[in-house]
Amino acid sequence: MSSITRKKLARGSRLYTDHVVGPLQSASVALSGNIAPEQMQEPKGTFRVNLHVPCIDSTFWGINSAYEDNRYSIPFVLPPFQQDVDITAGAVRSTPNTYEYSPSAPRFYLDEISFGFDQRDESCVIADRLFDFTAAANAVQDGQMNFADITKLNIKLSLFEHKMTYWDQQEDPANGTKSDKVNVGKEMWGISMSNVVYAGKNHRENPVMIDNLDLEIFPHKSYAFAISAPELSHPGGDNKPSYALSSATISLKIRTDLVSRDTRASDSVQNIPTKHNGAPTNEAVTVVTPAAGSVITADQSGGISQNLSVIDSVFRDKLNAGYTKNAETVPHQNLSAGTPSWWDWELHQVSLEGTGGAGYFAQGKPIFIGKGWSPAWQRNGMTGGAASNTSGAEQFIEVRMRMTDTAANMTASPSTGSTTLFSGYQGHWVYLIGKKALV
Amino acid sequence: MPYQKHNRYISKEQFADGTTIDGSRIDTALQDVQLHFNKSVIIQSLKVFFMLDTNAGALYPYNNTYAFTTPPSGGTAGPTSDVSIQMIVDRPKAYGSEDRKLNQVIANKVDFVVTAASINQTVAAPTADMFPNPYPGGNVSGKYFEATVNQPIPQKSRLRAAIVIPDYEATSAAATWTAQPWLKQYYSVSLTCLEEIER
Repeated sequence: MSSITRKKLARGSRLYTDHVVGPLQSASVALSGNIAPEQMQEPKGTFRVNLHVPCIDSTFWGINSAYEDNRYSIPFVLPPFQQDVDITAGAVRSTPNTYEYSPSAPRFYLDEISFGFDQRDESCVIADRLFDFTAAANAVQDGQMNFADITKLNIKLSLFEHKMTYWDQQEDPANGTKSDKVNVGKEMWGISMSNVVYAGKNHRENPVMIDNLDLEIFPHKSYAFAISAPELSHPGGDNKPSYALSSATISLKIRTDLVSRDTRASDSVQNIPTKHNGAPTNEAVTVVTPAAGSVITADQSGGISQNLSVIDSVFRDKLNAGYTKNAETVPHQNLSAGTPSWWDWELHQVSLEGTGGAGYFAQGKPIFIGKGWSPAWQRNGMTGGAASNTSGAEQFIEVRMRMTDTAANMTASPSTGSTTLFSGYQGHWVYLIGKKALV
Repeated sequence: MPYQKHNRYISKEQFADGTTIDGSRIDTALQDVQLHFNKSVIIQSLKVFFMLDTNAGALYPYNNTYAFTTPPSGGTAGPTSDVSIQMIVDRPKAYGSEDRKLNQVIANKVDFVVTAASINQTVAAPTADMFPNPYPGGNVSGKYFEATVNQPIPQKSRLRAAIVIPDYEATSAAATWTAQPWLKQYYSVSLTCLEEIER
């Protein structure tokens, strides 16, 4: 909705200063750091969830039985921002719908999916380590091309939606009357691709792109992207053909509302440069209102052309917002919002350093990450009061995970642990949930 | 991004038809990732990390030092320059998307000393406010390569980013890549692209 009211004049109307300067005055107020998303022609930003699997070989599709209905699934969730978490952590949900997603909280829409894998740029399938397998000879054909069996390259892609036990009384482990019905979820999107799309000599849909999906992704549900290509495996026995999906790459483009960025004052952001604390430095855009009864001029102070040039110059300089590459705020900010979210079946919350912070459980206040230069090296401390050890010079994030047998089950009794799966096929997925400033 | 599997043979993405292939370039392992963009985007950069262990032992395989004791082509011992990073955009469908002669190469980073691209100058214990502590695998260590592009690509573009590493196989003892070079470092790739805000 426009914040500028244009005053229409009938012929012969007496001209007041407000008729001419009023709209410019409104524009100057808006451009002084107050342009909200609803005033923007494009009020949404996009981010991507990118998933990459180096190899899905035929063992996953059930090589010992004919075409089992296995799917390679990658789970993910888009949790609410800390400001939008709307329930007390650990409380039992009284009804399935007690969580009300705030009307002002951002919505997420899946717009586009890209899916590709490595075919060595040929209309072929790639043998995996079990191709022509015998107990005596393993992995002698892997990586080889097979053109005749391209007919087996039939792929089903799906996106599954699942209620989260955390939010739903019927699924909440803390609820004594929890339903014992299996929460199967539902397939919210799917596509089957015949081998024909991968068999062409002059064109193959690899990577394929599916657009215009417009599927809403809910922060209170979890999702799994699933790949199914069971014909790439073969029922048991030696000397059978089997194939891999090599370097499978999935990119989900998600659209969401722009939101205000976090600040030290409002959100207790850790590690944010003390120079600005995330607070915007709004540009002062000022037009001069001529005195009543004064002569209408063009280029003098308060003149029509002079005032218009003030507004024009802001647009000529482009509308500013966000951070620079050195974690500085822009000196003259015009936009008040410009922060899409980013990141890329059992999901665990890994808490940030520090205390407080809303989440499924207390998860620490948000932590600023940005390469600084000397003016932006001085940072606010972590929640505990300690100074950040990066000294304002962080450049990349490394995620490492350690799994240990803290109860010593496997050491004390190997038979106990040997039947328990701790790390599934291809390990674990880790997502960073954050906000990214537009630049 | 673990790198447990590979297509260890030459691909057409590396060479156009008719290219003369000399022996020193055949033995490579290549893996690419593919993205298909619906709208025009600006590819800003590709950042590639080779993360390494600093602990020693069989449980810590990522210990490549990127050095020759005896280079396969002769010469003296020393650091290798045998990694390359490429980004290509396919020709549009209507004009022969699978014809590699018509690729648009938007990044090609080659012939750099791998071991000189360290992510940090001093390998020391991580700070105490990082968890898990101690880090599995030892201290923070690795190599970092950046291909700066800053180039818009058209709508419906199919982008392929490839990492090419050597595979010396028979002369594996000559280099710290060993006979399974794809298992000598942990791979991570970050693509920075600018996409428009939308309605």
